[in-house]
Amino acid sequence: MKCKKARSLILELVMETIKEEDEKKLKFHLKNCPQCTKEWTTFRELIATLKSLPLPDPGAEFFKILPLRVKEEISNISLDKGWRTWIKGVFTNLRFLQPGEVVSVLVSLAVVAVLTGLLIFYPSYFLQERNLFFKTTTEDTLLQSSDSLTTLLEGVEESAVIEELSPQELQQLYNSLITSIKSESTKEELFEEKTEESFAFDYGHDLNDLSPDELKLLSQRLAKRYPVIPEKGV
Amino acid sequence: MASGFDPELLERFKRGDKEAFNELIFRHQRAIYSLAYRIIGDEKEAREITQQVFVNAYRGLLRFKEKSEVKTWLYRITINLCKNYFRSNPCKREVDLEDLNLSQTETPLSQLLKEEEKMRLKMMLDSLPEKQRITLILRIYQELSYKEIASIMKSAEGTVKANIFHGLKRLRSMLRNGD
Repeated sequence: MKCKKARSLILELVMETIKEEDEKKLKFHLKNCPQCTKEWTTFRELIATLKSLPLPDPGAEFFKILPLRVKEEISNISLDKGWRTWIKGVFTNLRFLQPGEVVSVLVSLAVVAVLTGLLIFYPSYFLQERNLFFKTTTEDTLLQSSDSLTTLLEGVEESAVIEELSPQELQQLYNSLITSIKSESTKEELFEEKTEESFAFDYGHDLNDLSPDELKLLSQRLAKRYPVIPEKGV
Repeated sequence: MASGFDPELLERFKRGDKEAFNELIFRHQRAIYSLAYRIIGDEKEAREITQQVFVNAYRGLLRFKEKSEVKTWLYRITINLCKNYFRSNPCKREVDLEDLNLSQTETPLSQLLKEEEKMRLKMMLDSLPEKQRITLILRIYQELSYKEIASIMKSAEGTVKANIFHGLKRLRSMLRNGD
C-alpha cells in the first residue's frame, strides 16, 4: 500500500468506518511507515481529545421537569397566536403560487366576495327564492291531493261534472276534500290551513248554509282545481 | 438512550395517548441537549433549545410521516433551531482565531489534555465551517452513521464523509500552525 492510499484510509480508521480488509492492509503499512504512523497518531489523539471535551451536566432536575415545562409551553400557545401564525403562513405561501394557481385563487375569492355581497346587501333575494320554493311545494301537494280526491270521488255516482252535483253530493265532496286534505297534507300545515280557511271563509264549513249562487261558485272552483272527475255511474 | 425509531410510541401518540409524548421526551432529551450544547456551546441556551425542540416536535408529530427515524427528525429540528439561534445572534458564532493564541500554542496534542488546551480545541472546532462542524459533531459525539447524518443534513453520504475528513484535516492544520 502506498502512503497516499494509507493517508486516506487513516481517516477511515480513526472514524471507525474502515472496512475490515482495508484495516488489515493499513495496519501492515503503519508498521513499516513512521510518517503514516505519526499521521495516524495525530488524528487518533485529535479525535480522542475532541471526545473528551466536557459536556456540562444541566442536572437531573432539568431532565426531570423538562416534560412539564414542555407541556406548560404547549398549553400556553394561545389560539389567537395560532390564527395569526396561520394567516401569516397563508400570505407567505401565496408568494410561491404558480400563475395558473394565482388565477384560480383570485376567481375563487371573487365568487366568495360576490355571494357574500349579495347575502349582505340583497337578503330579500334569497328570502324571495325561499318563498317560491314553498309555493312550488304547496302546489305539488295539492296535485297529490287531487289524485287522492279522484279515488274518493269514485264513490260519488250521481254526476261526472261537478256543476251537476246535488247539494248533498257537493257536501259529500267537500267533506271528502277536507278529510283528504287533512290526511294527505299533515306535513304541509301551511297548505292545509290556507285551503281550509279559504273554504271556510268563502263558503262556510256547512254547504247547507250556502246560497245557490255560492254553491255554484264553489262547484266552479272545484271543477277548475280538480278537473279529473270520474264519469257518472263508474 | 433508547432507539430513536419508535413507531409504537408514535402510534400511541397519534391515538391521543399524551403519556407517549412524555416517554419520547425521556428517551431523547439527553441526546438533544448534548447536540444543542455541542453546536451552541452555551449551557443555558442549550437547555432552552432542548425545550423548544420538543415543543416544535409536539406541534409537528401528527404530520411526521416516518420517512426517517424519530431520533434523526429530532436532531434535524435541533440543528435548525441552533442555526436560527446563530442567525439571531451572529456575534455568538464568530470565533476569532486570534483568541486561540496559536503562536503560543505548544503541541504535541497530548498537551491538549489540560483543560485550557481543551477549550482551545473547542474554539477551533467552533471556527470550522458550519457543515463541517455539525457533521463532525453528529459523527463524534452523537455517534451517528454516515447514512443517518446524510438523512439529517439532507445530503449524500459522500458529502458527509468529505465534510468529516476536511473538518479533521482543517483542525490538524490549525494545530500544526501552532507548532
